[in-house]
Amino acid sequence: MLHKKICMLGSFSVGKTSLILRFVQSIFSDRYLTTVGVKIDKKVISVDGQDVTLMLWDLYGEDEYQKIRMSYLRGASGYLLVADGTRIATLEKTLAIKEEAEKNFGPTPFVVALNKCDLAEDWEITPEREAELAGRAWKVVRTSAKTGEGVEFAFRSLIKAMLPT
Amino acid sequence: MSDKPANDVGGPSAGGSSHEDEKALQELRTLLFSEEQHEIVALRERIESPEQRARDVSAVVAEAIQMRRARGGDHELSAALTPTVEEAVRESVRKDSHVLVEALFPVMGPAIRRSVAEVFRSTVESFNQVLESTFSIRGLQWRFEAIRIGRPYAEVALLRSLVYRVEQVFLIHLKTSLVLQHVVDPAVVTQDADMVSSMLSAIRDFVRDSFSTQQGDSLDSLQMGQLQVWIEQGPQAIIAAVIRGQAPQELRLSLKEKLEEAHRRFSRELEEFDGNPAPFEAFRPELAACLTASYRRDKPAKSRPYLAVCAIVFAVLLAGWYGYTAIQNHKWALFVENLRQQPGIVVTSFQRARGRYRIQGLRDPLAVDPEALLDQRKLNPRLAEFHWSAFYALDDSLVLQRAIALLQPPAGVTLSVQNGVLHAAGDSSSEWKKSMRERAHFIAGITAVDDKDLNDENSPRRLKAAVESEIILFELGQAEINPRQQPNLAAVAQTIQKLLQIAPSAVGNAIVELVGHADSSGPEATNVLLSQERANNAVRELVRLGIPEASLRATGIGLSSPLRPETDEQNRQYNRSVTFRVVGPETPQNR
Ligand SMILES: Nc1nc2c(ncn2[C@@H]2O[C@H](COP(=O)(O)OP(=O)(O)OP(=O)(O)O)[C@@H](O)[C@H]2O)c(=O)[nH]1
Ligand SMILES: [Mg+2]
Repeated sequence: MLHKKICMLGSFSVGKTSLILRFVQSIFSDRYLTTVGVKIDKKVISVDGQDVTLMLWDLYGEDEYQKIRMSYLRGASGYLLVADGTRIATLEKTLAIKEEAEKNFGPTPFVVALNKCDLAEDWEITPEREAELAGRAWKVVRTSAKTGEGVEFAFRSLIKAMLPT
Repeated sequence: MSDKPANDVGGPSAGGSSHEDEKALQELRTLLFSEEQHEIVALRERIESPEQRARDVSAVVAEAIQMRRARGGDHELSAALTPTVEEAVRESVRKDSHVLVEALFPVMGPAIRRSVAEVFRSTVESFNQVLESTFSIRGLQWRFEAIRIGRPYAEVALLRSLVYRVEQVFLIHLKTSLVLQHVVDPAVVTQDADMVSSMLSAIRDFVRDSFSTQQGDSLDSLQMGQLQVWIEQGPQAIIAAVIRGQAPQELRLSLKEKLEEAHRRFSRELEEFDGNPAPFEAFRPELAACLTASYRRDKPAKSRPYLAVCAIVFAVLLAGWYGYTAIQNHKWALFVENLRQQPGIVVTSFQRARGRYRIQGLRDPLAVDPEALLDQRKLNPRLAEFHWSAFYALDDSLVLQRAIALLQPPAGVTLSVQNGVLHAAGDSSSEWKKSMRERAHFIAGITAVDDKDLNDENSPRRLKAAVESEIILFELGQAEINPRQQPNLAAVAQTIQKLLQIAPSAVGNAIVELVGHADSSGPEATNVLLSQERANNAVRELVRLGIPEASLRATGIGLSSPLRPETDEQNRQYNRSVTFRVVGPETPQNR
């Protein structure tokens, strides 16, 4: 069976931990417990008839006190770049992290998750901006760890992008 | 440089002006020493200018501190620097605390979590150890030893037996932190190997990044109480062994060899690893060979049969004791069951405590004595502890006992109780009957009295019997009433009077038949006449005593139904008589 390492990247409190919790255990909690250091989860998933063991590295979110430690990203087969759709600034931060990761480790498959899409009235990302991202031939998925919308799809898309075709 | 010798040397020109000399000398000086003079000026300037001095010291301050340290003057240096450093930290926090927070944050969280986990783990571990060896003889020895030397028991136990054991070995791909192969001692409960390996790598990354060490340094062991993780790193993979106890250094060597072998055999696979660990299955036996362990063995103990014998005797005694207690318990339970069946006893609790049986409940004072029951069942009364509260039971049998005790029924009266109803039957005086009726209702448990079968002297049946038991005797051949029989007649008359008084209600219109008898001395014809005459006379006498004639009837039956066989004179006398029979009630049908 294939084993793959995936890193969750993004600003703090965008929902990285929540997305993993939703994806692995199908649960959601309103409580915010910030991640300290790294938390690793595991999930076996079947894509195109092939079982893959995912090692999901949930990193602490970048904030003004600490930048993401690049060494944690070493050997990752893919990144889930998470932004909080209700805070436009988190999208810019996430893209900056992506740039830095590519500088260190070269191009790596990724999927952009615009999370918290259940909070439609607070949504700050304009359709134009979204179209512009998609226009770069990027995979951009709206997700909600709360309702589960798009979560499975985002991870599956990432795995497809990672596996050799 | 004095002037005199110069003059001497000058000779002829000595008489010239000394000013000239002075000038020439100056010139010479300048020629000879100008460079040095400049230097001296510069030096002076340098020493006197603080700015310049600072510049100079700054160039060598680091080297100076290093030299000082090398000389071993550490303490004074630290002492000198400490106040300044402290002040600097304080100042930094005051100005912008974020700087320090940022610097310390990465090490604080993991440190706290690790120490919590360590406390928890060691608690569980020592508990396990204790459980494992508590019951062995060796365990006891260790316990004594632990007390003697004042160390925790778990520590002694572990020290005494296990030297070390390699519990798990991981082969981990360096770049991706994914597990290539994992072997585990069957006796060990493990976490998910994938997770452990990833976490291990994360920790190593963290340590390397957090404590900037020299290039190429890496975390090569972790210690948590009795557990250690030894890590060896190669260019493509790392090998990590989880070890309990104190392993010898040779083990590290063999880990290194295994790692080198893995790199040799799988260099291509390691280079091109894409997440598929299948090729490394072949390396399993090599890793498994690292799962070694070493136990400290005590010298094989001399066989000690007396220990076994003692153990067996002890076991038999124990079994015997348990059996005996079980049987006793059963007997007592039966006893209590029997107690519960007894009228007037309610058992509310039954417990065994400290070898005695404690029975609590309610007991009617009239109920059976529990001590007597104990005797019957051959149970030791000294083991019993009765706690009775008195109460009135409503069981019929106890209510009856209570009634008998209170009412004291005379001979001839029988009492019984059924569902709270007191039945009285037999003959009694009317006073007793009356008092019984009054008092019965005050007896606990009696709800009603039924005395229709209880006859006092005025009851029709008793009166009838009284009348019928009377007899009037006559002289031989005579029909006249003997004056000596008068009191008898008077008594009969009184009884008949009473009978007739209650008759309308109780017996209807009673008729009293007077039956005349004669003995066998005369001829039968005269006998009938004689007996009829006797009955007639008695009727007449009763009428005279106030009995209405309509209630009397006279019959003479001669010798046809003798009262007694005429065997002697006394019996013969009985047959010369009048007797009484109450017939009636004269109901319309009878008429
Ligand atoms: N409404 C809504 N809330 C979400 C969603 N995802 C996460 N949250 C909430 O956002 C908060 C932060 O979520 P986390 O998953 O802890 O965020 P994180 O990115 O792991 O944060 P750090 O570990 O601090 O970097 C929590 O209170 C979550 O309940 C979502 O899809 N919808
Ligand atoms: Mg988190």
